[in-house]
Amino acid sequence: MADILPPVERDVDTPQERAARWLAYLYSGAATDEGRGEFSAWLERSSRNARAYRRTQQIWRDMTVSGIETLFPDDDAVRGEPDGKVVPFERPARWLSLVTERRGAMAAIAASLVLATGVWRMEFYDPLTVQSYRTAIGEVKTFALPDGSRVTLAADSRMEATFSKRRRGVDLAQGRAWFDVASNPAKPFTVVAARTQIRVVGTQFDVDYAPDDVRVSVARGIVRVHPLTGRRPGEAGVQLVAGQRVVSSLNGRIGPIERFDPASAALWRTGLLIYHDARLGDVVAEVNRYRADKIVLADKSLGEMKITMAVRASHTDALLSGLEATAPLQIDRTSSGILVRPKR
Amino acid sequence: MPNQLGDDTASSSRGSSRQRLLERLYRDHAANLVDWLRRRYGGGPPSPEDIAQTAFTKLASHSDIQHIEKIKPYLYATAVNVALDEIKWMKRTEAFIDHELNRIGQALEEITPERVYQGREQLDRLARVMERLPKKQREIVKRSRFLGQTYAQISAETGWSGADISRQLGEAMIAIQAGIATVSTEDK
Repeated sequence: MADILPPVERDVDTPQERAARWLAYLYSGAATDEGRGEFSAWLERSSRNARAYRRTQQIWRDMTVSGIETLFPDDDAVRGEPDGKVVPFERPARWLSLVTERRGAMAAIAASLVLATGVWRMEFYDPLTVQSYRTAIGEVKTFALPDGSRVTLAADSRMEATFSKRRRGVDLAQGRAWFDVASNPAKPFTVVAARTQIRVVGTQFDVDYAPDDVRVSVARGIVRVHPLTGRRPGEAGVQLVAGQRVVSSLNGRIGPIERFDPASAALWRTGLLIYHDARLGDVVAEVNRYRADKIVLADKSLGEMKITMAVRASHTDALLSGLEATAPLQIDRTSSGILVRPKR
Repeated sequence: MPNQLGDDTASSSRGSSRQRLLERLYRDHAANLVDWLRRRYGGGPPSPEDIAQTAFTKLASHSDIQHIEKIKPYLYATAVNVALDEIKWMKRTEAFIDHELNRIGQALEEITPERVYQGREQLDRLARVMERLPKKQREIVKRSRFLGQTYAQISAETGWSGADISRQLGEAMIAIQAGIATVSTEDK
């Protein structure tokens, strides 16, 4: 049918509404390969899209059970006596008990599960646990994830972890994180930062979501990095082993594989920030996560200056005195922040 | 026919009670199910008898059937899925979507006796929401979801345009999602 077309992109649609329209397109009997390709791209575009579509498709699947009596009401064959003896299962799955408990009990259970920074959501049609983690300015903290993996968040960082029976996924929304992933080949662990996806089965690696790029550094094991595009994962992706890292652009383009010293990669976790020929812009962005009074570069071109230096996260003023002493820069403390500019 | 249900644990007492249950289910439901399937999907192939047989075989492969509360909807839903599996474009569509969801780590829950039992309240909720859909949307859901008709087929039988059918089905799914959320709030 010529009049069945993939849903058009409209900003007003929620992911849930878009998911419903995609389902209506896919089950039209007139979907084309091109249309299905667009669907795949939309699905991969964000984890919200992915979750929204899964929920819609699960309802579509469950409708066969729920709709038999509703849509065929005149059928004596369907409506009738209940059959068989109903015996409760001995151990209801935990998600169900959480859903069906009364509110007071819910709150008590929830309270015992929730970490200081987290919120648990349980849904029947999307039985996932989603938890948010964040660190304050200057705070470095290690969290245990539900699968036994551990993640250390650098200061002023944010991430959301999504766990289900088949999935371990983390969205790094801001900042930097060190992952020590519990091995489980059957259930890959994925991290998404901007348009870059990292996929592992068990390993140690660092993801730095910097202002202009995303850096993935591997300390142990094997890590697959690929862009989040409409294409299949694996295409245009790279595989990294310990001691290798890549820098990818915010739109997911992956740069060449570089070598680095794994021993120094995670020193930030101990409170030591080490830079070797690093862009001043990147250094300032990271250092600012450890300070309340932010450092501002007066001129964007200053960001391209290369510096080599080590500062303690708790004493980042040392960066300022270091710059003043070794570079042709002057530091002015203003009401809007600490301004770094070329010496006059 | 009941001995074709494939229960190989009949020697144990639990197995024999399960065997008796399967026999009873078959006796109570098989003829009606075959009739129902013939009215919906015609004489085949696959024949309604074959579809019903496959549905019972699938039912027997689950170990927890004695827990099923909604045995009829479960059985009919299984048969509907067996019937739809024989429609080529539908099978391809299902396989494509399953593959896509698995690939991004968003696999679906299967309809199993355990899940139907544990999710019975939510499935009732879904039924109530579907009941409230406008008549036209219910008809489209029925034809698309249960009968596996393409929009071209639905259009030929109802006179509605393909674009309208697509829009109505989208609206129905949006309303169902919203309805489930609303009902669950009301329940609290």
